[in-house]
Amino acid sequence: MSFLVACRERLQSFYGQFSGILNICGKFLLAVFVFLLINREIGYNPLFSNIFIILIMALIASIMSTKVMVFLTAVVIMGNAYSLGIEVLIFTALLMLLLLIMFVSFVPDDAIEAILMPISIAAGVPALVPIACGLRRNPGCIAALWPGIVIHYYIHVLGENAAALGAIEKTQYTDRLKIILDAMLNNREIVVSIFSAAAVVIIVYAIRKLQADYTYEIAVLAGGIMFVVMSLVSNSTLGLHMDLTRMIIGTLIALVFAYVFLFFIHHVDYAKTEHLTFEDDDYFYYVKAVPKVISEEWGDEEDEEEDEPDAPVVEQAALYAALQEAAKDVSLPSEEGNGKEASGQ
Amino acid sequence: MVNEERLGLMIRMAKQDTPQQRKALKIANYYRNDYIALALIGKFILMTIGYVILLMFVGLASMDFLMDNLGRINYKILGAEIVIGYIIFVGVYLGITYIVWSVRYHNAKKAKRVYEENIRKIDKIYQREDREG
Repeated sequence: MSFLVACRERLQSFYGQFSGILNICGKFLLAVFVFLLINREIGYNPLFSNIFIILIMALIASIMSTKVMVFLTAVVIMGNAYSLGIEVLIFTALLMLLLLIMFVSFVPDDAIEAILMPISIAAGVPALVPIACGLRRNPGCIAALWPGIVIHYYIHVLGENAAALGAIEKTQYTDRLKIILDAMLNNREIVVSIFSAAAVVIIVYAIRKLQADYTYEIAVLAGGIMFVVMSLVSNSTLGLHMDLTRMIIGTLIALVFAYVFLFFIHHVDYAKTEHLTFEDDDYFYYVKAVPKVISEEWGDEEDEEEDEPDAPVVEQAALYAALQEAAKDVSLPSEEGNGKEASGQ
Repeated sequence: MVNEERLGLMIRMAKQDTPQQRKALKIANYYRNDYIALALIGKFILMTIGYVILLMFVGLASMDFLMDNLGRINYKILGAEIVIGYIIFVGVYLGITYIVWSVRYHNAKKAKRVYEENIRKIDKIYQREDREG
């Protein structure tokens, strides 16, 4: 385990040194993967199927914010929809606008999850992104996951019905749109995926916020179990004919990745938990200090004194001293700066 | 000589100087009612557009029924249903907007209080250093 911790810290240090270039490379690869995934389903437009155009768009997405990547993904989808018909393009644009208005406008900073969700569904690990969101975000990110789920199934419907759309006269706009709309409305997997994702995020978030030991680990497991249970229940009640073996294997793989993710973001030693109690003039402080697991090898490189006490005790003493010092200087905000706000409220 | 206390405070503030923190400070400069009202007005316009799009999709899905019963539909009742649906749709989203934006404003004010507290502590340390010469 200490070897893994040491490896993690070297990776984190490496990332810290080269975060700029690594972020750009990561976004570039993500964008390429997303655009190729879209073209795999509905790659009917020769312009947007051209690998050079894909690479140029991915390059633009990598150097700009993630919202630009979301915008370019929408452009690729609409570009390919145009090849199926002008009415399909308009329908696609209106659908995306509706999803943007109803959901993404509430969480614009979480728009990247709208791209990650379809990728995880396509990769066969649909529980992974909701679990990761529950660990790192709040339930509000559900508003970003839902559009991703809808767009994934919409692209799938377009790909499946492309032949049927081609068989109908191009001027029969309403008939062609009805095929797409009926396919979307009859697809109950969309509803199941939406509710499963929401349930997983909520349960993971609720459990990891509890004030107990191993809440993060239990939350990941609970998220996986919730996803499997919801899929099994909906499969039997709605008659979905889901591939249950694939779903369970996908959830197990998602749990493995989720625990690896957890190892990087939250790896603590609950056995060395310290419970501290102290007071100042205004409050009693009940502090639970759980030390992070730091590699001994990594610590030795920076620690030159052999008789220095253990890190948790040093951190505890420093924390106590800082809090005592801060308590002396705590004062209420002055009224000068708040006069404007007080009258406004 | 470096004042470690001041240095520690300034390092902590520099670490907190994230885009989210800067956004929170901008939000906290608004009056609460103004901030929420702006959000409600913007969302009202967006939700109206969204409802129109939704109606178009519903109309398309019900195209067969509408074409078969064009002469038999009670347009007054249909109009009333559309208006009631609009009120409920916009009302629900404005309610969600009010709650979300209230929470955001509350968190932004908290972040601003912490920021101002740290600024005051640093200022006190500077004043103490000036007095001590």
